Amino acid sequence: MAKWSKQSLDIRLVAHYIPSNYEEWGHTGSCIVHAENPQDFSKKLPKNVRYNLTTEVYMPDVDLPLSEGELEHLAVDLEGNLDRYAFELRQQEVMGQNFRRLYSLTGVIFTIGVLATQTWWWLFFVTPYWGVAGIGNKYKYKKAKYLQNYDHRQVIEGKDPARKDAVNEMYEFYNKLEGHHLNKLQRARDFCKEQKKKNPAFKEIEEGYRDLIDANLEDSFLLQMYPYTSLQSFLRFFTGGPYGIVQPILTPKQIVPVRNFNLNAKKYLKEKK
Amino acid sequence: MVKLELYMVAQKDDLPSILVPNKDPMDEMFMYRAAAARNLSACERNEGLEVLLQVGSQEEIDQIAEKSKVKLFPNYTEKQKVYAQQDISGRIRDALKDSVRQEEMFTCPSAIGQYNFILNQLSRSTGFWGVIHRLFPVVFIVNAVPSFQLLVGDMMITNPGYYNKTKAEFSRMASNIMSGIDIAYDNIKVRLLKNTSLDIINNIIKTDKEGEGYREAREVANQLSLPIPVVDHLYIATQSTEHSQWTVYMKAPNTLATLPLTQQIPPSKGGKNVKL
Repeated sequence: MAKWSKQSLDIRLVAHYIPSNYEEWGHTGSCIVHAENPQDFSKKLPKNVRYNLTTEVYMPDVDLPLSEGELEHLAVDLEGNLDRYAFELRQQEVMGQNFRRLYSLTGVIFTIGVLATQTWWWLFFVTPYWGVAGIGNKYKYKKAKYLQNYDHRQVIEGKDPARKDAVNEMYEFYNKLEGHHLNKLQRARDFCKEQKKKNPAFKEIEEGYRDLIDANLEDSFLLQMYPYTSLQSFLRFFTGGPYGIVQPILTPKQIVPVRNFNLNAKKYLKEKK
Repeated sequence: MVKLELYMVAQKDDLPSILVPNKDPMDEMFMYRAAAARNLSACERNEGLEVLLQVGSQEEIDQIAEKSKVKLFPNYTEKQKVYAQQDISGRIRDALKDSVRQEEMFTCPSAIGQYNFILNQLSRSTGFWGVIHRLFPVVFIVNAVPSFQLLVGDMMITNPGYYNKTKAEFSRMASNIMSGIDIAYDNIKVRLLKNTSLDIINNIIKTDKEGEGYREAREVANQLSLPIPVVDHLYIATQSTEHSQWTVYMKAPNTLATLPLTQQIPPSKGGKNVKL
C-alpha cells in the first residue's frame, strides 16, 4: 500500500524559551529556544506513514510576547536544521553504502586469496578495511531518512499548563541570578534538577541548559570534524573510505536565538508616537 | 512548501524600505548544503517557495495591500499593463529571480560537486582503464595462479562499477537540485507576517537619534531574534552613512619631515548624513 493513500499522523516538536546569555556572532546577549535534537526526534517518526509536524513553542507570560513573524522565524530555523541533517546524511550514504558493499566483496576475495596463494605481497592491491566506510552515519540515517516524509508543517504557541508554569518559573528564577554566565547556567540546571521531581516539564528545560553548557565547553566544529589525535586519525583511516572522502555527520543542537524579554522594548516602540 | 524569509527594513526619512533575504552566511563555508537541501526537497515534493515577508507594523501591511491594488491607465502600452497587473508577489518574484535565484544557480551545484571532483580523480586509478594499467604485473601471474582471477575480476568489474554508480547517483541528485530551483522560484507564494523585533529596529532608524539611527539599531539587534544578514545590513548602513570608523583612518599621512606637503587633507567632519 502506498504511503500517500494512508492517513497521516500528527507529531509535535516541543520547543521551550530558555532565558540565558547566548553568545554567538550576531546574537550577543540573546536568549534561546531549545528543542529535541534531530536524531532523538527522528526515532519517534512513523516508518511507512506520512506525518504532519506541529512545533509548539512555550514562552513566559510577558507584555510583548513573540509575534507571528518571530514564531515563523523559529520554525524556519528548527525545520531547516532537520532538513539539512537529513540531506547531509543522505549525501554521505550515497558514497558510504556503495563503498561498504564494494569493499565487503573485496574482503571475501581477500580471504580466498590468502588461503589459496599463501603469499602476502599482493595484499597491497586490495583494501577490504574500507568495508566499514561511514558506519556511524549508517545507523543515524536508518531513522533520519523518515524526516522528509512530512505533509504539512506549522508552528503554534503551546497551551499545556504544566509546561507553561515551568517556563514562567524558570524565567523568574533566572532573572534573580547574578555572576558569570556559565555559573548562572549551571545553577539554572541544578534548579531544574530539583523542580523535575514536582513538575516533569522541567526535564526538557534541563536538557536545554545541558546543551548550552556543552556548546560553551566542547571543541569547535572544525576540531570535531578534523582528526587531530592519533586515535582519531587511526579510526578515520577505516571509516573515512578511500582518501577519507566519507565524512562523519555530527548531530546538530536545536538552539535558536530569540528576543530577550528583559529588553525594554516599549521604550523604543513609544518614541515613534 | 520550502520557506525563505524576507525582512522589510526601513530607511531614514521617506526613502523606501529594503528587502533583506535571510540566508545563512556560514552556509557558504560548507558548500551551500542548506540551500541545496531546500531546492532538492522542492523538486522531490514538487512544491513551490513560500516567501515569508516579515513586516514591522500593521500600518505597513495595510500600505502593501493598498499598493498591490491594480490601477490601469488608458495610455499604458501592453508591456506596461503586464507589469502593472502584477501584484506585490509578482514584483518580489522578479526581484528574487534577479538576485537569490541567480546566486543559487551558481552555488548549489558545489554541494555535490565537491565530492564529484574527488571521485573523478579516484576514477583515474579505479576506473576500467586505470585498472588495466595497475594489473600489468598480475596478467602474468594469472597464468600460473588461477585464484588471482577473482582479484582481477573484482578490480576490473566491481570496482569501476560501484564508483560509476555513486557518480550516477550524485549527478541525478545534482540535476534534481537544479530543476528544484526552477520549480521553487516559478511558484512563489507570499505571506505577510508581523514581526515586533523588526518594528523596534524600524522605529529606531526612523527616529534617528543624534543622526546615528543605524548604529543604535545594530546594538539593539544583537538582543533581538533578527538574523545575521539583517544585522550585517545595519552595520554596512552605519559605516556608509553615519559617524563611521573609517574616519579614524582619514588622517593626514605621517610623511617624512623633509618632504613638502603639497596638498593638505582636511580633518574629517563627523555627523554628516548621506542618504543610501
